[in-house]
Amino acid sequence: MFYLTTATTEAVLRNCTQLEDLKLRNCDELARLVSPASSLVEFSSPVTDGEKEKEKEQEKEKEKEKQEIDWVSSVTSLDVTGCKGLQTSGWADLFPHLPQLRHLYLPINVSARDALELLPSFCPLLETLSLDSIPVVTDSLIGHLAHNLPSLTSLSVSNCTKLTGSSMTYLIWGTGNILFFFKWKF
Amino acid sequence: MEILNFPYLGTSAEPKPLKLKKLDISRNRRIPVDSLLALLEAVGDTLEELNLRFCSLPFMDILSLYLGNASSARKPMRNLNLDNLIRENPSTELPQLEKIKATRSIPTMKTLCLNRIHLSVLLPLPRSNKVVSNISFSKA
Repeated sequence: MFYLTTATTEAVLRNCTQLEDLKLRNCDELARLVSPASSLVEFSSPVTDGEKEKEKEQEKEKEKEKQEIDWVSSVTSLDVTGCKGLQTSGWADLFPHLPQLRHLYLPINVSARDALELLPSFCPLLETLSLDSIPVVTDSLIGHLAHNLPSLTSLSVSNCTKLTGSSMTYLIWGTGNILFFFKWKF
Repeated sequence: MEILNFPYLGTSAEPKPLKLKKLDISRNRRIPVDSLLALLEAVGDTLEELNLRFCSLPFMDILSLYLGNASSARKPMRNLNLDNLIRENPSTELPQLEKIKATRSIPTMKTLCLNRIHLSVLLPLPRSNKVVSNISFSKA
């Protein structure tokens, strides 16, 4: 039996610089897709001349790390449903590297609502979004996504038990100003 | 009330519904039928696929809207999944269903899923329409 681990995935995908469609369903051993953002933070300005060489070396390493995750920038479709091992903190690190993403299928264990709220900022071209069974999906999150993802044509929120009729109202108003609706209604 | 936390101000006072082609709200039992029907009206004919499995909705309200009624000019959806829909008023369904069968065809529908709906009278409806290519039924 072969299990796809984080190391294996990274090793394979780094060579796939033109990858567009990535399906990693039910890869339980997968912990993350890209390196943590903390390792990509730019180094601050140098203090002394003696530290400049170290500085340059570190910058080169950072640049190398950036290049290593460049493979994700060409991905337009990502399906990681059933990947229960994916770390919650990894989503905020991943989304900024997916500017071309149009189809996204997320696993049930996404517990960081903040990361989902960032989706429209980093993946504005999203057309398909699957949030099935994710417990942090609420009406206001649907409103946020509907308001900021004008290209969204396919939405799956099966078994999102917190949703009520308000989410339907948010979808109706889409990118319009929903506050006008509530002002009129009440 | 959750709306108080909604911070987004658009520039338009009119609804700008998403051009949804596919919507899956299955297994959500807190979405009332009036909200759903309002969305379906707003989205209009762009919606091609709707999944309402295990939703708690009035069966006929949904079915009549999309299999059609005489006053509706809406094109039926291509794919409609009503498997395991939890119905509220089964006793009122038969006369409505007869009316639908008499007045409407479903020319563009491709898939209609009605598994475990507990309504044997539905059988003649899709069978009478040869265009529907994939209809699934099963006993409860």
